[in-house]
Amino acid sequence: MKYSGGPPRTPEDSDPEAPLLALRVYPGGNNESDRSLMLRARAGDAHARQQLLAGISEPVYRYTLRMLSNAEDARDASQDTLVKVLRHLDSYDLDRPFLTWVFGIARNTCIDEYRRRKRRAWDEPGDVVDPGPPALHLAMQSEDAERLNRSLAALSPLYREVIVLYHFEHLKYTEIADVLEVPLGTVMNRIFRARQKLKDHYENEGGEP
Amino acid sequence: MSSHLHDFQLQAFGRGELNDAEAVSAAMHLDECPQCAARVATLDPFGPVFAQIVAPRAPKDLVARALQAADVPEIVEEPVWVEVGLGAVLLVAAAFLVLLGGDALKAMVEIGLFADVLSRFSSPWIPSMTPMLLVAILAGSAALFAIRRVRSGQALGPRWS
Ligand SMILES: [Zn+2]
Repeated sequence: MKYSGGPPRTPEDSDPEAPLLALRVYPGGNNESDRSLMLRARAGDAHARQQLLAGISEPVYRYTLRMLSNAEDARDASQDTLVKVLRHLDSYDLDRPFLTWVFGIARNTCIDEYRRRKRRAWDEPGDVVDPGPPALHLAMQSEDAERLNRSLAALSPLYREVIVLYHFEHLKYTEIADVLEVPLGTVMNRIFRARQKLKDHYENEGGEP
Repeated sequence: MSSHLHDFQLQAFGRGELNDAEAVSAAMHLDECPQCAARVATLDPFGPVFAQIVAPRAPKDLVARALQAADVPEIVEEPVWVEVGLGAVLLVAAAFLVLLGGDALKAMVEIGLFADVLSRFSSPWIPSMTPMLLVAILAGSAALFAIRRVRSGQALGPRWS
């Protein structure tokens, strides 16, 4: 699967037959079938719990892998995130878009992992290349794509996450603000700076966006 | 929905040249307007490169493992509570020492507790309350430290809302 480029997808784009919660955040909350799935999962229905996790496992894994740059850590962090989702489903506000809540949990899990590694702080807005294993060799892809991946890994988590959430997970700006629990203006500021840093790094590596 | 964004606005948005208020209002429009979002995407020089990046896939057993892990009862982190308990005991001990003052000191010397150390403090040129206060400050700090650790432990955890 490739990321669809271009603008964020809208709910209408998603296939009605696709699994529930097929990775779109619905404006203003969740649709009826998602709500009923969540309620059943909350009540302990094993099938609903399985379906609920199946709908979020891919975006959670993608996010944790991009933020932690390490497949093993991403596996652990995404499993932890899914477990937390199940355990805290009772306290989840059904009016809040489910995926932004889930990304918030994934984010906190990654921040904890950063703290555990005692690496530099998540919110340090430095330009330094991440000291961890940075390059994600995901599959055969173009040189430009590899270069962009390297530039992305070089961004500090603070800037990388807004790019990841917008360009890879296709969240809206307001949804990103919801995940990060910051005002929209802060999100826009970070996105602009992140894109500038991304561009600088990409050009330093010899690329021309 | 407000009227569509002009090309110059979209270009300035793409270059990050809008001021804060303009950027926020453009972002809110782009969130709700697929046409303008499509237009701004065509102006994005990275757009085609992002589209080439292959998405990683989650391990096949991720959901099964998470379901299994969720069934295991949550581990309660007791060591923190041990710290709090210790802090509380120290606080009570400190209060006891402060209240009894020199009498407690004398009692401790009599039963031989820390005799060497205490005898030094008992010399006539050091007021007997000094070691008591020192102990009280130390014990109080220990208790506060323990409580702070519990608090920060809670703050470190994910914020569920
Ligand atoms: Zn528009």
